[in-house]
Amino acid sequence: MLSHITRRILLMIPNVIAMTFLLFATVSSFLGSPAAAMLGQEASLEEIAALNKQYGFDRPIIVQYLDWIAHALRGDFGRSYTSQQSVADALLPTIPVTLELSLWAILLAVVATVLFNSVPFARRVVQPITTTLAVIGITIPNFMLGICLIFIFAVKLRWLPTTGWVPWSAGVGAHLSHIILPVVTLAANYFGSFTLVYREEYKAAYRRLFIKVARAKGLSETRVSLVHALPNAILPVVTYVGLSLGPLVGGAVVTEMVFSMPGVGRLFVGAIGAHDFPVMLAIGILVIFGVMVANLVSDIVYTSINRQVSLG
Amino acid sequence: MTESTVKSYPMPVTGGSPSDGETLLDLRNLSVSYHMAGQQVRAVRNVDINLKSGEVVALVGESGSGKSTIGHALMGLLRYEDKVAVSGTALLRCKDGVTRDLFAISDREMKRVRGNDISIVFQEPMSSLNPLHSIGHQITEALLAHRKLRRNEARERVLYYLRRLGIPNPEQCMARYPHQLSGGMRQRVMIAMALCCESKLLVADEATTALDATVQAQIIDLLKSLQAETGMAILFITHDLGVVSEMADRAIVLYAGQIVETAATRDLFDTPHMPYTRALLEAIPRLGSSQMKGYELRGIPGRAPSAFERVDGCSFNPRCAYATEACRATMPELDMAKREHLVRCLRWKELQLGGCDEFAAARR
Amino acid sequence: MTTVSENRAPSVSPWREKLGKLSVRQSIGLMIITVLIVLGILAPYLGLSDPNQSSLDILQRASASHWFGTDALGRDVFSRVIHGIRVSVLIGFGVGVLGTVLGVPIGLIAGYARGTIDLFILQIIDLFVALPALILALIITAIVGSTAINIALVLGFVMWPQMARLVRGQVIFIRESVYVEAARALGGSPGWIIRQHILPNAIRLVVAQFSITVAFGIFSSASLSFLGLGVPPPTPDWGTMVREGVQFLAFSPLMSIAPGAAVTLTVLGFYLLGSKDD
Repeated sequence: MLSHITRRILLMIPNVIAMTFLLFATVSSFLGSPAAAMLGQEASLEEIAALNKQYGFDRPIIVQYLDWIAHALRGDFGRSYTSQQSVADALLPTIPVTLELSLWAILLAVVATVLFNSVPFARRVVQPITTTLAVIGITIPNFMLGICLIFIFAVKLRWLPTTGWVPWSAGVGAHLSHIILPVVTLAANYFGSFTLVYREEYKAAYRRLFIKVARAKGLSETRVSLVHALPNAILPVVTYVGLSLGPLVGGAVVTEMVFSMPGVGRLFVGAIGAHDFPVMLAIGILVIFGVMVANLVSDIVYTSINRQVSLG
Repeated sequence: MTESTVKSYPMPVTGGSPSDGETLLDLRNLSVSYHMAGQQVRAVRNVDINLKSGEVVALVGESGSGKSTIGHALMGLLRYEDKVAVSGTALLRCKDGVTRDLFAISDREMKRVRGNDISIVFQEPMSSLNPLHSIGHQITEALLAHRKLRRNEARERVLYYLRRLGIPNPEQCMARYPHQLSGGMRQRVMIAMALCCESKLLVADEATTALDATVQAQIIDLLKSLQAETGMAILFITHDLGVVSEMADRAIVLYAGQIVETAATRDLFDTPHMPYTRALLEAIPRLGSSQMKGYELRGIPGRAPSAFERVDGCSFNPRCAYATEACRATMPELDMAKREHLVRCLRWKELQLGGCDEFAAARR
Repeated sequence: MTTVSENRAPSVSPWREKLGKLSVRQSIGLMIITVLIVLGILAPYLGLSDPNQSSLDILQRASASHWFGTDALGRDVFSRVIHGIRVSVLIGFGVGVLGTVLGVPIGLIAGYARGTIDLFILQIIDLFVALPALILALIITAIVGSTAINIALVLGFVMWPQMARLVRGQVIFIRESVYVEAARALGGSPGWIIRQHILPNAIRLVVAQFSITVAFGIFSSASLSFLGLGVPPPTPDWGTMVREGVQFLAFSPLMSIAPGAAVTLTVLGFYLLGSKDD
C-alpha cells in the first residue's frame, strides 16, 4: 500500500514538471516577447531589449522556468501586465468562489446520480427519464444550460437573480440564491457521465452473490439496493470523480462567464483576452497541479478502500 | 406468534429424529426455463420433491444439472432474474402454521418467508458476504428482518449463534469485515446467518464444496449436530456423493434437469438402478483401502448435455454404456423399483449394476 | 427448425458484418445529423437573407420576416444559425479526423506492442485524460490564433487519448481471442493479422468513437467561441452568437438560445450516433 502511494507520487512528479514546463515554454515562446506586449507597438527594439533584460526574458527558457518555480514556491507569481497587481493578490480571492462552485456541483451530481439510479422504484419507473436527462446533461454545453436557466428562473419567473455573486457574509439566502443556478449548470454534465458509470457499476454489483444472500435474508428490495448494492457501486464513481476534475475546471470556466462570477475562470478568460502572460501561466500551472494532486488523492482513496475490500 | 418465538431463545430443542414425518415442503412439477439467445431453455423439468420436517435430503448432480436452480427457485431468487419462467407448486408449511405456495405468493409475502421459514447457504463463502459491512451488521440485519428486537437483544442472539458455530472470540468477530476471515469462518458466519431466525428448512447449496477437506469435514459435523439439535430439514445440494453418504437420509439424483433416481441413501448406495448413479458412485474418490485394491478413480465419459442441447430419448443415453436403440428413442418415465425408490431407466430391471460396498467405509 | 444451436464460425469476410445494424438511438442521431448537414450544404440556396449583411433593422424581435429576430448589427439570426452549421460541423469533423489519425495508430501500437512501449503510451494517455483540456485549448488557441483550422488542430490534439485508449483496449481484447492465435500459428505476419482480424473488429468501435469525438469537438469549439476564442468575424459561429446575444436575453431570447440550441442538437446527434444503447 505504502509502496503504491510512493510509486504514484514518484510518477506524478515528472508529469507535473513536464506539463508545467511545456506550458511555460509554449506560452513564453509563442507569445513572443512579453516585453513587446507590455510596451505596445510603438516600442523601439532598444526599449524592448532593455525591458527583456530587466525582467530576465533574455535568459534560456529552462532558467526562466526554474526561476518562476522558485518564486512560485514562495508565493510570488509575478505581476499582472495589465493591472500591475501582484498575481497572487488577483488570484487568491477568486479561488474560494471556484472551489465552492465545483464542490457543490460535484456533490449535487453524485447525490442526484445515486438517487435517480438506486431506488428500485426510481430505476423501473424513472429510468427512461433519467436516461434522457443524462444524455441531455452530457450533450448540452454549459453556456446553453446556463442561459436557459437564467431565462426561465430569473427573466421569466423572477425567482432568482440573473447573474453575479454575493459572499456568505451578505446573508445565506442571498448567497445561495446566487449560486444555485451555476451549481445546477455545472452539475448537469457530471450527472450525465456519472449516471453512465454508476449504472454499469450498479449492474455489476447487482450480479454479485452477496446481493442474493441479502435477498435470501428476507430484506426488502429497497434495502438490498441501498445498503448492499449502492455502497459497492459508488466506489468506482470516486475514481471517476477524480478523473473528471480536469473537464470540471473547463466547465467551471464557462459557467463563471455565463453567471459573471468572480472566480478563477473569469480571471483566466480575462487574462487570455488581454494576453496577460503571468496570470495565464500561474492559473494554468496551478490548475494542472491541482488536478493532478486531486487525481492522486482519489486514486489513493480508491486503492486503499478497494484493497481492504477485495484482497485483504 | 413472533413474541413466543423470541422467548424460545436460546434455541428450541425439538429433538433430532425425523420427528413426526409431517410434510414440510411439497414441491410438485417444478419446471424452470430460461430465455437465452432467442430460445427457451429448460433447466429443470417436472421435478417433484417431498421433504418431511427434520429430514435431510441430498440433491445430487453434476454442475449444470439444475440442482442449484431448484434451490434458488425455492428461495424465490429467480423472481429477480429476467427471462426466467418458473412453473409448478411449492407448498411450504410455515412457522405460523399456514401453508404457502412459494411460487404463487406475492413478492411481499415471499420476503417474509425468506430467511424466516426457509434459508440458504451458498457455495462460495468468499463472495457471499458484502465486503463493505461488518460481520455483526450482516447477521443482525438478517435477524432484524424478521424479529422486532432491541439492539442488545439482537446482539446477544447473534453472539449466541456465532458461539454455537464454534467461532472463537465472537465479540471480536462481529466487528470484523469479511476479508479478515478465512473461508471456513465465513461459511460458519453464513450458516449462523441462515439459522438465526430458526428456519425449518435450510437449503445448503454446495455449502461445503469450496472449502478444503478438513474444514469441509468440520462444517459437515457442525451441520449434522445443528440439525439434530434444532430438527430443521436440510435440502443438501451437492455433487459429492461422499458428503451425501454422511449427511443425507434420502438422495435425489438429478441429470439434465430431471430426477433420474431417488431412494434412501443406504438403498441408493447398495443397489443403484440407474447407470448414471452407478457411475457417480464409482467417481467417489476414496482413500486407503481402495488404493490397495488397485481401485481406479473413474470419471464419467463424455459430458452432460448443455441446456441448449436436446437429447432424444433418455438424456443420459449418449454417455451410457448400456444404452440401446430403445434408450435413444424413448424418454423413460420414473419407475418404482421398490417403496421410496424411483428410477428413470428403461433397462433397470435387467441391469445388475451392483452397489457401492464401501458405503459404510465412506460413512466414517 | 434446428434443435441444436452452435455459435457460427468466424466469418471469412467480416468487414460488413462487423459494422452491424443501427440501434434506435443511433438512427435518431443519424437523422439529426443528416438534416443538419443537408441544411448546411444547401444554406446558400435556401433563399435566406445574407448572414453577414448588416442592416438598420437592428435588435428586432422574432417576426415573420426575421424568424429569430436580428442581432446588434441587424443581421438575420435565423440565417446565421443555419449558416453556422457549416463551420461547426467542419471543425467537429476536423477534430474527429485528427483525433482518429493520432489516436488509432498510437492505440494500435500500444495494444499490439505491449511491454514498455505500452506502459509509456498509457502513461501519456492517463495524463491527457486527467488534464483540463479546455484550459489547455484556451491557452494554445489564444497563442496560435483562433482560426477554424487552428481550433480543430488544438481540440484534436487534446482529444486523441480517448480514441487511443479505446483502440488499445480493443486490440488487447482481440489479440487474446482464439482465432488470432490460430492465425499466428498458421504463420501470419503481425501486419497481416492486424489487417485481417484486429482492424475489422475494432473499426466499429472506432467509427462510434469518431462520432463521439466529433460531438465533443463541436461542444468544445462552441465553448471556446463562447469564451471569445471563436472563428474570426463575420463568419457565423454559434458560440460567438450566444456570447453576443446573452446581453439581450430578456429582450430577444432567441438571439442566444437559438444558436445555443443548434449546438446542443448537433452535439446530441453525433453523440447518439456514437453511443450504445443501455
